[in-house]
Amino acid sequence: MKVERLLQISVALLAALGSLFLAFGQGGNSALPLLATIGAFLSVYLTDIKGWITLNRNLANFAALVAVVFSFFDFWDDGSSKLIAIAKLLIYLQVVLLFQPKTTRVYWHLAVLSLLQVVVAAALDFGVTFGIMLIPYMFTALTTLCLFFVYRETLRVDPELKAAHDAVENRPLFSFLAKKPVESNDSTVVSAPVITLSGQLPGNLASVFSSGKMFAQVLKMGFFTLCATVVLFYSFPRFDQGQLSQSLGGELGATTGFKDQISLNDMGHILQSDRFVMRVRLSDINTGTIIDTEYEPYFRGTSLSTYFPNSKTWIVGNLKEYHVTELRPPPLKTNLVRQQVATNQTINFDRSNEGVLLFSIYPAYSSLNTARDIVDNQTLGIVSMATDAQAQVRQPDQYEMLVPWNPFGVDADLIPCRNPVNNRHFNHYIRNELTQVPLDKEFADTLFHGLTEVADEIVAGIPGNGDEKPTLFTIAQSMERHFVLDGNYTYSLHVPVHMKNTRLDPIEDFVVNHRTGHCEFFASALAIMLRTQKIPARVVVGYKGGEFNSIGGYYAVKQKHAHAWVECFLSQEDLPVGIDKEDYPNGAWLRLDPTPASRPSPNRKDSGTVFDTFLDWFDYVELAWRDYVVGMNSERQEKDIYKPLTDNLVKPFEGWVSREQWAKFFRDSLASMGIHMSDEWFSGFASIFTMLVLLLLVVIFELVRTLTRRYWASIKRLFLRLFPSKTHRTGFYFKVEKLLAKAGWQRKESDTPREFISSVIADCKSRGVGAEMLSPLSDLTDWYYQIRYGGKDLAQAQQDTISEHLLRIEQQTLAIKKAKR
Amino acid sequence: MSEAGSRMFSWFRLRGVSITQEGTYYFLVFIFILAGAIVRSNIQLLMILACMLLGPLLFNLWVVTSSLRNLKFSRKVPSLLSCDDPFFVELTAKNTGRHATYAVVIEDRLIQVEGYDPEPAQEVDVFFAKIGNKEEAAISYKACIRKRGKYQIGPLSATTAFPLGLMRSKRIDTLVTTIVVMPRIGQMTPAWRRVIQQEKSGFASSRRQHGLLEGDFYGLREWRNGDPKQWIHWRSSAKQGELVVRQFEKQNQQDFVLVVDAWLPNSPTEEDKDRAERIISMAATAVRELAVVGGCQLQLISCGETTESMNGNVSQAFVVQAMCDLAVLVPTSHHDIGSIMANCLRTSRPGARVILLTTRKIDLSDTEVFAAVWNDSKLRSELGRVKTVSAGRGDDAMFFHMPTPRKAQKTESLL
Repeated sequence: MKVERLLQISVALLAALGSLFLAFGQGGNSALPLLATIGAFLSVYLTDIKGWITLNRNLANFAALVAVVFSFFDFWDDGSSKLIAIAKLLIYLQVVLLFQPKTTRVYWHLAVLSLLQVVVAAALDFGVTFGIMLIPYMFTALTTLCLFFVYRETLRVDPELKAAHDAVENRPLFSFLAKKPVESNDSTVVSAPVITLSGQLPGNLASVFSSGKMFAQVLKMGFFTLCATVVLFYSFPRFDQGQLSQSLGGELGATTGFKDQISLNDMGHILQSDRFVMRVRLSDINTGTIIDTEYEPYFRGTSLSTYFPNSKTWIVGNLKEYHVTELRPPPLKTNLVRQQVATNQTINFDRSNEGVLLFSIYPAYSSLNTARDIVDNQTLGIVSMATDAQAQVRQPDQYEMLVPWNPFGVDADLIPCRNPVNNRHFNHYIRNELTQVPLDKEFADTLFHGLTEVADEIVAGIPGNGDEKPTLFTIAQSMERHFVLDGNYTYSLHVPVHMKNTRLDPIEDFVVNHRTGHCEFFASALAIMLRTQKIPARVVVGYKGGEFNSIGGYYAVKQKHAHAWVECFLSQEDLPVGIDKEDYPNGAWLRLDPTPASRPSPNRKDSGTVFDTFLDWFDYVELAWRDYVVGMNSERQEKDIYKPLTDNLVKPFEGWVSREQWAKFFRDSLASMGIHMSDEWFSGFASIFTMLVLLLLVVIFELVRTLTRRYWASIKRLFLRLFPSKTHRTGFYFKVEKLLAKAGWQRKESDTPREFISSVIADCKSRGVGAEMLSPLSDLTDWYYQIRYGGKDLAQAQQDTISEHLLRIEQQTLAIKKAKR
Repeated sequence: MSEAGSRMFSWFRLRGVSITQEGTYYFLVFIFILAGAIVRSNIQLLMILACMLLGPLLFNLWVVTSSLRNLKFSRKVPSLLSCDDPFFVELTAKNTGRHATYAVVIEDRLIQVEGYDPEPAQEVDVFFAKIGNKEEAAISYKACIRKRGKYQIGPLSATTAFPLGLMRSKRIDTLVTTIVVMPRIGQMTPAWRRVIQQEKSGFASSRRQHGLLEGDFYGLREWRNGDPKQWIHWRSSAKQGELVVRQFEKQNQQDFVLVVDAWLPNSPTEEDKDRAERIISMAATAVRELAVVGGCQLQLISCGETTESMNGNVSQAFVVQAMCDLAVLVPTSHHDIGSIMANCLRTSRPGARVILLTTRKIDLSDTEVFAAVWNDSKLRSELGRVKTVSAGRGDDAMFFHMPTPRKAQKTESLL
């Protein structure tokens, strides 16, 4: 296959890959890039092979202009749209170029356009697919560059190819501008140039550059490029995001984390986001075995106590006093696992009253590796990293705690209350804040009339034990079952507008009317229902479960795992039968999860198929990509790259730059030789003096070396004049040969000395170099012949001149050598 | 984009390695993306791209730096050529290194070093697709020279930008080959041959003819089929018991002096130049014909910017040397043909026939030009053996026919 055809295919592939990058980057709007990809492949057949569609250059320029104008209007939208507008423009231009006859200009433009597409895609897509696609893209780009180079070289060598290429490239814009050929009578004969030289391409051109060895070369190059990329990427210093990027480019793609409130009118897009929040590894304390279970752990964020019907929002609430302590070691009897969390540093975790909110299974206890600044708000059940209120601190990139692990026990959903129950503020919190149906009772009755009725019905429907009232625990469980099991409610992220009754409160509307919603509706409804029955309840937000990755042994918690559930307070007396009440001296929080689709369910059926393993690998690679590529900012680089490097490479040699250690070394060395020196010799002044002396020595050495190099010839000449060499046999000729060899003239074995020197002289003349050594050269050759073949001795004057001649030749050859470099 | 990037000025050059035009554009794209990565430091993928772009540049630099180090070049070309005769220059590259070298472009140059009105240097590129390790590769290019003279091929420069064409390494090899392009050869007319045959004179004319037994006795050899009976040496045959014949050296010796007076007026016209070329061609053709006939003692005196004289039996070696002299003969108006003729008559063998080929419109009767001859009474008497062929008067047409130079067709590929 011809090199040019291979190049056409390779360029089309490169263009197609560039478009595919954009297709991945744009997500839903990928129709245009996909069409461009198809167009790239079609252009090979239609334009390059068959030549059926070849855009005229005028037409192509006009089309490009139209594309620019067409894309111009999209630039006025917001940042992301601008990028998409640029992406579209690049695609239009690429299509226009693909269907033009290919010249070096077109090839080059296509390659650059493709690269720009990748640049735009880099700003649109941060996923690991981008990284994976970069590898085939790199190989294709290297192949294209390689073939493009060979194509250019063939054009350079072969005049016919060059003429054909130039005919296409230099075609005038309009045919009437083309110069008419000059007509002459003797049109077939032109005067021939005196010298005609015509190069030709080697016969093995196509076979060499389409062979397997060339493929191996590209592989080698790709491997080198990958290694270089990794090394350069991690070593190239990043500018602090706050300094340069904000001053020059502003913040792009600023991220927000979890919100400490629920707004029911405003369905969070967060619920659908695939954005990675944290990695959680649960392992046995003693054995370190990874816990891989079908149970979905609840990673608690914060609890919301107050509902504002006006804004339809749940907030944390205003408490006068919280019970906040350091994270404490676990009690002895508890069944615990080690919870290690690595957070996504591009997401800002929300702030609590104490500092930065940390997600964790609750309650959490400290281990030996737990940071000291983690505090536990036992009133709300929040774990935080204590910071100043004003400090702009991001969450730690990893933290560790010990958490209880009894997923399937009787007390699985019971969380011991650790706030002293006799605390006045806590009592007020429980009895007033958590039992308050929003605002005053009357307003609540009108607001949640239907909901209260449903709650009453549920309570009434609980099968009683004679006259005995149902326990709070039973009521709570019945209400939870009402949402989960009865089949009256449907889980959906989107509630159709026509089903909503906007005059009602969304929670009331949800229970009475449409009965369709997501976890926030279910949790809100259950919390209000419990409160109507005077059961203290609060809504808890956090994450539930995650995608367990068997390769990395962790739960990948993403924003789509965000969840809301309910906790109701049960005093020690209200605890269900079968529970050791001694374990719950302050009562307990009963976790109720009313959302139907989020009942304990397997995260992943471990069917063990290849596809599952692949998915796990992919997920693991994606996380690694996010950790080590996308999140490799200056801070991360400092911590993960530079610090380990300096720790391992520099610290062992720290002693080498320590003045004390050197002083000690010298003192000991001298002492071992019997020289005892006082400390004054090793004082700071003495060190400075020593350094100055060393510096002076270095300067003198450099000076002498420079002067010797520059004036060596003059010194040598002076020396020869003062002490002339009296006798010269034929050795001088061989010196000449040696000098000439250094300058690039090597005597062939078949050449006589005279022939050799003549060729050197001719060469010097033609190149216009070494004019001063021509006559010494011919003189020395003559004299050599006189001695060697004539059996004569040289006259004294000639003997004296030989050294000068040699010196001159040496100077000239040196100059030629330097000029060559 | 230009394919001749290497010939352009490059802003980066270090030890023979420079960045090509394409490499410069590539570098600018790299800088653009790197700047983007620095400004948008939250988009780490831009940094990945920038680093990925730097890798090939470094790889290219690494490969080109080591590619040409182990290459040795040689060139094969005929040393003596005729005008208009196309020939091939074969370049051989030997790779003594451990790795194969790919895509080496050789820039070879051909320049006229001696001869009339030297032509500017012409360059040609040839392409070695691959030179395997410890292997040789050869490639040739076609050349055609339409003007006599001495030419030099080389020094050559080898360049490679493999594999990506972003960086280019260049090495100059001082390999130089000299070729001589003979004057254009024509045909001597029968009139010329008659002059040569009839004008047997001098030493040759005094020789006695021996019928079939021409020349000096040289030796004996065995009888071969076709030898005349007269050659049989009966006594020796009787002694040896087989037929033995006498062997003779051909002694049909003639003495000629050919004086080529390549004279041009101070401001020569094209016609004058053509005339000078014609007599040089005529001299070259005459020498070659004499070599074919053989048995001739010839002194060739070429008078131009320098006056060269050579003397000897017309052999193949003589022809080569004569062609070299005539190839580089530069017509001029400065040389003194009178003194040269006087010197020639003085030094040539007595009785040798002197043929003066001149571009001037003169003959020997011109006492001003040939004052040195006419003023010497002894030489004056020798004038009888001088035959003048004056191209200025058109005498050359009678003795010499020169073919018209080949014209190039438009379709012929020209560099």
